[in-house]
Parts: sequence; C-alpha cells; structure tokens
Amino acid sequence: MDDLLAEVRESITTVLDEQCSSLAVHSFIDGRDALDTRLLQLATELGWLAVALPEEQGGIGLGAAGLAILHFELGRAAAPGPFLATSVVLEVLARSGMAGEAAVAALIADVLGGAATLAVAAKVEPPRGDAPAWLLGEVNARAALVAGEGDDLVLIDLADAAPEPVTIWDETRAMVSLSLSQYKPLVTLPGARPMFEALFAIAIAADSAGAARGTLDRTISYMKEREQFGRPIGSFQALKHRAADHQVNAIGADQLVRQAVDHIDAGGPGAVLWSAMAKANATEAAAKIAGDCVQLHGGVGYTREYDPHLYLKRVRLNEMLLAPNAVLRDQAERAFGAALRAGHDVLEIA
Amino acid sequence: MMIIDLRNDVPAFRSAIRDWIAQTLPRDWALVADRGTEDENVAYQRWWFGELAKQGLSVPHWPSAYGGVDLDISGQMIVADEMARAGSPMLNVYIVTLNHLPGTLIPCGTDEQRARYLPPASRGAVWCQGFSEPGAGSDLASLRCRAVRDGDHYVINGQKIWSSMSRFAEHCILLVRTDPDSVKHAGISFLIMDMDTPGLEVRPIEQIDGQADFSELFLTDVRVPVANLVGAENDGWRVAQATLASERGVLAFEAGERRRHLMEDYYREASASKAAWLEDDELRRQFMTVLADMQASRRLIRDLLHDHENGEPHATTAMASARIKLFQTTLIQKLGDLVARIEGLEGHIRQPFHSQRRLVGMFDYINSFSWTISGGTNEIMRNLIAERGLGLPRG
Repeated sequence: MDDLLAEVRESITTVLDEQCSSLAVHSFIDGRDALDTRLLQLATELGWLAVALPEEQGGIGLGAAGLAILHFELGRAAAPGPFLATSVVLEVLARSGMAGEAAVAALIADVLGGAATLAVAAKVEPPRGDAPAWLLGEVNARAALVAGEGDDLVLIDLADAAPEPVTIWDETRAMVSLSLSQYKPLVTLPGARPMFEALFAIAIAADSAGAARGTLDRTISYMKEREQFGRPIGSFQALKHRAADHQVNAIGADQLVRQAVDHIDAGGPGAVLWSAMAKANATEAAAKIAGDCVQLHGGVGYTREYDPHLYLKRVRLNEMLLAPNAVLRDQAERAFGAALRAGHDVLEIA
Repeated sequence: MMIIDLRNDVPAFRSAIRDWIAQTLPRDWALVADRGTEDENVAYQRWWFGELAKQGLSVPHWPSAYGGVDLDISGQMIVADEMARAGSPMLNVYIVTLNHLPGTLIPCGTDEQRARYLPPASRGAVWCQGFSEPGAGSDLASLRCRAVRDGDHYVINGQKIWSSMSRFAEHCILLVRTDPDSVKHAGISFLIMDMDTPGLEVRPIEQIDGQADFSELFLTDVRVPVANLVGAENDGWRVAQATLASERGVLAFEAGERRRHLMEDYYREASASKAAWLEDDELRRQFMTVLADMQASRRLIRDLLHDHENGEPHATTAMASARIKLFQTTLIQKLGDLVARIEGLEGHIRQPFHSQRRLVGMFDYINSFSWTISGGTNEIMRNLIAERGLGLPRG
C-alpha cells in the first residue's frame, strides 16, 4: 500500500512539475492559457479523480490516503481546476451505497470519462432564508452535493440550472451561487453527512498542507537569491527563524493530515475527531505560513506577478470551506468526549 | 527469568511489563514522590532504577558487554510506552548515565574506561555533565574552564553551569580548555571527573519553578588523572559531538507518550466533573488545538525513530531531532499556558508539590521554559533547521 501511494504521488508530482509551473499558473490567471481544462484532461486520463474510489467502481482504491496525496500535490502546485469538489463528491457517492442507482452510476461514469465535473456546497450548513447557496465548482458542473435533512445529503442536478459565477479572491478555484428555487434533487444519500464532512475536511486539509509546503519552498528559494545589504536575505536571523518555524509547522500540519487519513480509512470513532482537527489546524497553520511568505518576499510579495498571493488566497478560502473551524473544534471535542466515554482509544497510533 | 528475556515475544513482553509494574509500583507512589523534597524524589528514582535492573529493564539498550541486551528501538519503545501508560517514576537523575555516558564511552573511550565506568553505571551510578559555562552557553566552544597538565594529572580551574542533577552525581563528564592558544574548537579536552574530588564545589541554582535540578560547579585546583582523558588531548570537541549526538529519541518518545496520558486524564476528569472551562468556547477549542498538535508531535517522533531503525543517515535524523525539539517544546509551553489559563486565579495558589502524574497549570507553564531553553535553545534549533535543513546561508 505504501509503495503504491508513493508511486501515485510520484506520478502526480511529475505531471504537475511539468504542466503546472508557476509560469503556467500565471498564464492561467491572466486568461492566456486554459490550464485548468488541460489538467482536468490529464487527471481524467491518469485516473487522479478516481484515486480514492474503490476498484470495482473504476478507481485505484487508495481511499482517504489517495485523496490526501492528490490534494496535497495539487495544493503544492496551486493547481487550478474543479478537483476538490469533483474528487470528494465522487468518493462520497461511491461510499454512500447509492452508487448502484442508475442516475448516480451514469454520473460517475461521465465524471470518470471526463464528460462532467461536480460541485459541492462550499459551506455544509444550508443558507438561511432565501439566500442562495455557494457551490465550490465550475459554472458548468453537472451536479452538486448539498446538505439535506438531518444527516442526509442531496445530490442536485445542475444540467438545466443556471448557477451564477461569483468572482472570488482565489483565482485558482471557481465558485458559483445557486438559488434554492433551482434545486432539482437527483438522489438523496441517507446519513452520508458525517462521511462527507470527513472526506471534504481531509481534502481541504491536504490541499492546505500542500499549499503551505509549496509557498514555503518557493519563499526559501527566494530568500537564498534575493540580496540586500550585500548578502542574501535568508542569512538574516530575523527571517531565517521565521522560515524554520514555518518549516516545523508545515510538517506538523502534514502529520495531522496523516492522522486523519488513518482514522477515516479505518472507519473508527476517530474519523470525525481527526478529520475536523486536521482541517481546523492545517488550514490555520497554512494561512499563517502563506501570509508570512508574502511578507518574507518584501515588495515583490505584494505584486500579482509573484506566487505568494496565489497560495495565500487559496488557503484563506480553504479555511472558510466546510464549516468554521470553531464549529469543527466543537464537533471534534464532542467526538473526543464520546469516544472516551465509550472506551475507544482514539489517541493510539499504530 | 527476567522480563527482558521475553523481548522476542512482543505481546508477552508487553504484558509482562504491564503486570510487573502493577505489582511492583505502589499506587500512591506519586503522592510520595511529588510531595516530598527533591532528595526524597531522587531516593524514589534510585529505588525504581534498582527494581528495573532486577528485570533487565534499566539499561536494555546498552551492549551486552556492559549489562544490556542491545534492545532495538521498537523494543525500547515498548518499554517506554508501558512506563508512560503506568505513569511510572521518571528517571531524570539518570539521563546522563543512561544516554550520554554510553554514547560517549562506547565510541570514544578506552577499554579500561568502559570496563571501569559502564558496569557500575548500569547498576545506578549517577553521572552529570559539565559542559556549559557562564560565558559559554549556546556558544559552547568558547568555553574557558582551564586544565593545565601537571605530571600525570590535570589541574583544573574554572566554572561550569547548568549541570543537571549534579548534586546527586558520582561522576561528571567535563569539557575543559587544554590549549588556550589554539582556535575555539581545537584546544578542548574531554575528561571524567569524580564528584568527590577536592576543590570542587557544587552550588544548586534556584530555578523559577521552585526546584533546583541544575547546579553550578566551581573548580579550584581540581586534580583529575590524565588517565581520565576521553579521546586525545585537545580532541574533546569531537568527543563532545558524540555525547550530544547520543540517541535520545526514545526519551522524547516517552515524554510525548506521558503527555498524551496526562492530557487524556485531564480531559476525562474535567468532563466527569463538568468543569466550567468546558463551557468556555475559547478554552475548550484551544484544548482541542493543542490536543491535535500533541498528536502531530507524537507522530513526528515515531517517524524519527522508524528512520533510525531503517538506518537513515545521522545527518537526516539530527535534523529531524531539531525539528522535533522545536515542535515538541513549543507544544509543552502552549499546553502549560493553556492549563494555567484554565485554572485561573486558583492556579496561582502555590501548591507544596508539582506532579508527574497530572497537569498543574502554573508549575507546568513556568517549568516549560526549561524545555524551550535547555538542550540547545529553540533559537539555536531554528538556526540549525534554517541553515542545515533548509540550506539558508549562515549569517
């Protein structure tokens, strides 16, 4: 399993290093290159979207571990495209027990074949009153997963809906708004919400940990090149100590992602606890690191031409997805308390 | 038959340790050890060390020639895990004895030195370290404690500081300057000094946490035999590198496992007693944040130990150690800070004891600075991580 994961990671990084360089991402955000479409095509051919999906549903069967690797690497490259929503929803559909439903099976086949992408409620709590829902995904997404009654989720059909694109600060992802009157339920996934929250959380956490790694690596390179007062700015202790702290915290975030992966794939009582905490802590660690990477770049960090802002906006969006971190920490605390009372050891590490 | 003889049968080894601790360690040991004076605490450690020795569990990681069984890292982790689980007495007074001493004498000592010092150490002789000086802290190589050759002895004059548990020690590993004319790192020698040598005075340092683990050593014409030189004269810096590189990952592992149980117990008790802080959004959420960091820290240590077992080069693992030191000690401070806030004003009523068995806010918080400062300050760790790990240029 570890060998297969390493192999998958290597194949993803090879493609992203080649296709999704800083230059390519800048061409994309400047509207000169459809990098998102190209990456999606490659992802389809290489089976990335199915990395977590069980083998009998056309996937690679790597579960949450596969999802985490994919999104860590996409985050590291600040890769544009509807990967987060599409891969998470795909995996939820596969695990929901409804994958055999004709409409769902057809949808999965279309996504795996590259004919459709998916969207997901950016915040799991439904909007209040008549406010439209924000969906993370492309304007032409085929379907979206949103919260239903209680722990149910509802897959809504977007084929004939007209979601409004919204302009967001993160230029590497897309979001749309959709009024509730346009909701056309395709299928209900009973009781799927906890599983969805765990998978969405781990994907967000992994993307954030990867983005933290990506912006930190680039910032450290910059600190070695950029000279002031006749020496590289990376030689100044006031700056290098910050880089060291970020290095350690980025690794800590990575470990939390792995902690959550272990528990989600084991399906135990630690899944809610650790996925919620991975999302809460990793997104905040990443936001701190990415913010300071702008600062460590000095003047050029404030320019659109350089990379740090791409990562900063991406991880700040990540932090707001799914649910506020305060809510997740409360969920985690309840799960921790319940596990202890039930005599489950959720702190043991294999 | 000793428990250590079961080491190749992991489940049997583990459960034998667990049962043996339950039978051997009095339930109220922590009350005695924590409420007592430091001398009583050390007496307790000596007793516990003796009990461990009877089961082959005092120095299992040492080579068989010196009383150990070369227990591998996973075996050491089992022992440490069971000790942490049971909350057994921590062996603070033996840290140099168990780790730095063999880490130095095995690669750098003579056969005679190993034969003379290691067997008694395996039975509980306490060692301390005389490295830092008032003028040589982070910049250790600038040390000035002077040793002058006089026949078959060195005559030593100078001062050492931050020598842990030296009030209780029989021997000291000592760094001295034997050649004042050569540059910094050259001209240092590594000696073994008996703590009852005339001219040596040990003065405890009153610490901010109320304890006195550290002492200053004042050396006035202290005579140490030339036979006590470890490595060649003026080659002590190289020997000291071996001392400082001695494997202490399992110690960090055990400390991390103990912290896990302390946090779990703390939450369990708060939950059972419906503690007010669990209704405080900020404190409750902060607890979860620290709990998650604690888990990340335990995983980092496990990765390091697995890399050791898989024979990763020392340079790689040394860097991981620096990262772990920074991450873990920052976490310890965050935890102390949080528990002190949770305890509020009541936490400021000074108790006549600290505890190895439960979190005590102000004590743990004030004590946490010993973690962020000793063993290489966190600022030195940041330099290491940035320069050797990230390749940033030296300042």
